[in-house]
Amino acid sequence: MEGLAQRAAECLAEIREKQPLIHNITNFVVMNSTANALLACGASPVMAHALEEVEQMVSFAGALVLNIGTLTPPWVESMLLAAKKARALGVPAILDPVGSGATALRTESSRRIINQAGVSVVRGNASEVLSLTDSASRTKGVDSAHSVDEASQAARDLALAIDTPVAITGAVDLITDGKRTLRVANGHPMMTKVTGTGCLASAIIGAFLAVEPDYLVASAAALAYVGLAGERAAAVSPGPGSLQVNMLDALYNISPADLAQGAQIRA
Amino acid sequence: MRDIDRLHVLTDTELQSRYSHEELTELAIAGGAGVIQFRQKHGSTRQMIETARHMQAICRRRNAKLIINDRLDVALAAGADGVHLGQDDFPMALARQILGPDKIIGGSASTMEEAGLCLAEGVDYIGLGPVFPTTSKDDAGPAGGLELVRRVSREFGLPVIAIGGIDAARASEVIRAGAHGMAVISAVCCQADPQAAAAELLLAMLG
Repeated sequence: MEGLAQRAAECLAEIREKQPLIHNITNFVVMNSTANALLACGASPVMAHALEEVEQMVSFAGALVLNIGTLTPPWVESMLLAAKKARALGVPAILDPVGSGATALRTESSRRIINQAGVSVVRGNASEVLSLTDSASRTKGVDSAHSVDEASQAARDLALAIDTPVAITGAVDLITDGKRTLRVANGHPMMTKVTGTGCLASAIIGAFLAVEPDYLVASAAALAYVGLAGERAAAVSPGPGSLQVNMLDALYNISPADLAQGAQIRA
Repeated sequence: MRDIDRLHVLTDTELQSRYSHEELTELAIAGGAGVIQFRQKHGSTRQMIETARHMQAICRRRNAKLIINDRLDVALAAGADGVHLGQDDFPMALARQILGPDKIIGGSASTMEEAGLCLAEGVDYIGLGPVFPTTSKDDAGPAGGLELVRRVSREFGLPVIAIGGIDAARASEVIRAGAHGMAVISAVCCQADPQAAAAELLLAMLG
């Protein structure tokens, strides 16, 4: 069977075989958990944000993950520098505009990274994605005040405007490049009770970008994998504490065949 | 504008007898269909409602949508996500009044004129076809071809779901012609492995 679930399985197998270096400039909250998630997936994470080293680091990387969760202006400068270098070298980059829309610094920094450096994928919740378009939107802190459906047209408009696939994660994830749209129905509601599951999803998308040149497919495959891990973990977790631990185990234990079987990628 | 999924599968138990409507619903969703359409022209209303309720439960559980062809009463009874109406079926504007703004209403069109009528009646998407010659529907008119898809997609600003004779080999040209998505019957239901067939269509749609 040659479907998207199969493509997702092939991506996972390739990540485990090649163990691509994933360069993260991310936030204090999830630095440890996303590094562990990338290891469990089979990738090789590195966290490096000093202005003096990001260009050198990204030159060895299979992908770059930018996350503005606990941003300060110097960190944003590092992200811009790394993203420009990544673009020059053809290294794919993903931006997670955490809390964009909540403060001017977050919205402006996200827009600067997109417009001045350019990225390969933008992944956010509905409110964050809406904040990057010119439509009026309100973000409540870092959690979404909007549904995926409300933001789907905005996501398509944004993807076309910046010529970059946009992923909105929610109950059903939506990934669009403006012309093509996919949905991923994997996941579990308990995932929203653990901090950093969105950041984890972005980091894993980074790993999939390192092996799959069609960034729309890579993003859908990564989100199916993370969602499936969430489903498996939730089935054996009485609450969010154990879910966090069991997510890592699930990411580690899901085989390519499991992903081919369990991925729920739709249109 | 509503967000309409792109791969619609009409479950059919007259062209094939291997799978039930419920089984096809499961398999098509597993393969990547976002919308399942229940179309049955024969049989008792009571039986139709029962089948539709089963299908709705599957769709709800798996986050897909169920649309009922022609039968507004069955859609209401089953708590379906919407209806798909032909030019001679239940009037589309009246269906909108009854179902309200949140339900999906699709309208069939085979010409520019009919597509214009659909728009005027307030549908969420236009089911346009037959695009290619088809054997799945007895009373399907002559094939309109990709040119009609192009014109309707450009003209009306509504999502066009192309139908009629579409298979994996033709999926990408239909999308390139401007269709938002496609609806298939035989290309999934009449295949030995409906799930794999749906998955192949989904991949083909990405071009």
